[in-house]
Amino acid sequence: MSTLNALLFFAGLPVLIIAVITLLVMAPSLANGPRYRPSQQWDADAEWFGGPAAQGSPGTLALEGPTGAGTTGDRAAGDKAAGDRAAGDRAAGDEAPGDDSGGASASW
Amino acid sequence: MTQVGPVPAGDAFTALQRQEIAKAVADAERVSGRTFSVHVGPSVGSPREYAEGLHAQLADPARSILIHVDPAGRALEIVTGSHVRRSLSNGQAALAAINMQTAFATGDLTRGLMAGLQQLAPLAKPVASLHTDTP
Repeated sequence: MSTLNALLFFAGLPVLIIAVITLLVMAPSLANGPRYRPSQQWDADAEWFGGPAAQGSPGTLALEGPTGAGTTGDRAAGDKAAGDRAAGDRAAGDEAPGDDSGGASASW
Repeated sequence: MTQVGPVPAGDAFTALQRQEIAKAVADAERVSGRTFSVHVGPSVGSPREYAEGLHAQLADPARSILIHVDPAGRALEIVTGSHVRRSLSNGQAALAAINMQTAFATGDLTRGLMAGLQQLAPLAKPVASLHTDTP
């Protein structure tokens, strides 16, 4: 076995195997794109499915206004306590008089 | 190994995720006969008031349900119109919110939205009124 062949066999082959395994591990996350993580900042544009412009045919609509205004990545500590708050906090009848819309709120 | 760092502008969802959410919205509307709307983005001011403002912009707010998710502020708001409230109580909406909250806390916005829509749709169906709905 020549020196070149030995080098290819003992160095090139392991590097190739490592590269293939790395690619296989990273492929799903590369395919899925960026992922939301509660502890990190959110800079993506607002999206509205079934908004006023797309009423009847659900689609997306970028909302006008300062989309980055609410990005607060440093709320982690303060929100921890709020995260345990159950969604039913304002479940029943806490809307203003005359306002007949309802619903629920939650945070995580 | 996943990408680390803030979600870049314009990339809230992949095309497939968008398609899934749009389909879940369409399915919910078909099942319930109500209008569903999902807004994902930062709130300006109080999340509740912002969500109610968005709900008011819909074509028929009284018969509409709006789900507002603020990923940065970690807030979820479900707003139901006055007609929808007759069949979908605030307590039922709160149960759906808990379901969605669980998925959001793990970072899966799409699954949370789909689960919430699937849970809300059958509950939002108009209640049959015997004296008006039967011939």
